[in-house]
Amino acid sequence: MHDWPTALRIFVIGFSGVFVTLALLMVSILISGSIVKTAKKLVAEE
Amino acid sequence: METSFLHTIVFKTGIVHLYWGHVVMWLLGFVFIYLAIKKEFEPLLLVPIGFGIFIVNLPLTPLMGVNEEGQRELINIFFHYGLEWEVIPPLIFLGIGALTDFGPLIANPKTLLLGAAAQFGVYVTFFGAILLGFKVPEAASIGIIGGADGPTTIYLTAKLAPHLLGATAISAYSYMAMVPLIQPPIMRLLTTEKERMIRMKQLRPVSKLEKILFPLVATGIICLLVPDSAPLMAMLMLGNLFRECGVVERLNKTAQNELLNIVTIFLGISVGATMRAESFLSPKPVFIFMLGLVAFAFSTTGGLLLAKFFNLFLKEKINPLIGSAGVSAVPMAARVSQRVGQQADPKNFLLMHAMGPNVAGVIGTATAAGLFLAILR
Repeated sequence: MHDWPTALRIFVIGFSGVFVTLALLMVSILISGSIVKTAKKLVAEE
Repeated sequence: METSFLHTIVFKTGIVHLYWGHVVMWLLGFVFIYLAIKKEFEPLLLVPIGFGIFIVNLPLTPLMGVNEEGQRELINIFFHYGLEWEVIPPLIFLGIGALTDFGPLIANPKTLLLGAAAQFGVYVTFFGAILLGFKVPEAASIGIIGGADGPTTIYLTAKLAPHLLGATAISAYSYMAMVPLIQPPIMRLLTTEKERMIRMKQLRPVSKLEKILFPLVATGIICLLVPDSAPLMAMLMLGNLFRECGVVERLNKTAQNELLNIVTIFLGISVGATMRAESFLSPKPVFIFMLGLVAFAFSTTGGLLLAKFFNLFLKEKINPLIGSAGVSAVPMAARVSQRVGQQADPKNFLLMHAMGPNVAGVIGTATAAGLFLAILR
């Protein structure tokens, strides 16, 4: 009666999908932060 | 002739069409208005929602149906174009974006993972709803209540299970208002006194350039990975770009104030008006209310436990109380973290640290909704 295979698929894909997406956003923030920092350093040196 | 005329007139009044269900719904509407006025629980929403419940349960009122010419009646127009056409939730996100400072999140990006962990309740409740006999799309709409994000709940339910819109929206907003009551016992249960006393290093200052880049980076990443979340994410980040860029102050103020207020009126009254006695007084909404509480409890637990897990590896420990702020409910959940933290150590200031997972929770819930849509549509 219950559609457990679909439910399990949604649980796994959904929950891990949220983690992966937010983890990638975290990495992007770190990268953009370090780019900004480096760029500021270079400008200050000039 | 006169008797027949009188008979017609009497039958055209609502009084003779009243039944006990209407009265129950009036009382529910009055409770909402009371909570808003007396307790100040989410008054901007509970007043129009309560009033919407009241007026739609006055029999024969031409508000939420379709007239003889096939045209939608007043509130049905708001509902159709606002919610069914998915206009209102993204506009609310625009306002939220304009109101939100993502600085604490940019300063400590790992709090994004706490926001992700706090979506645990969404998926646990999704399973619970299926166990109670709800269909998969209905279960997804109920599960998303755990994200503690009203507009996202409405957005997803309008797409997947529109017949549950009233119950899920009311459940989400009711529990959001009750975050200060629901979360503290769970937070105390899952943490030791020593953990609650952990002091965190002051956050680094975030430059204006980083704050401007953030909405662009976040939109790009999330909308590329989960395109179905774009209506919410894009508007959230557009609002935030208005705020941070510093050159569109008029748009920023409009998004934060007038526009947000206008759509809140339409949202509140439309949601309230979906709660007709004929459809609402059944076991399903009761189950949805119960599951909403389960969702909030597990979301709080998910954020807390991941913060504790982080502490096994991190040199600079995180106060696990900030994990519970990963349920969206901005900024109330962050304030709860601060309050519970200060009960253990009155000189500990966790508010800014908790704002990181708190705003991450908004992004996490919108992402979860997008993933549900991607899988189920």
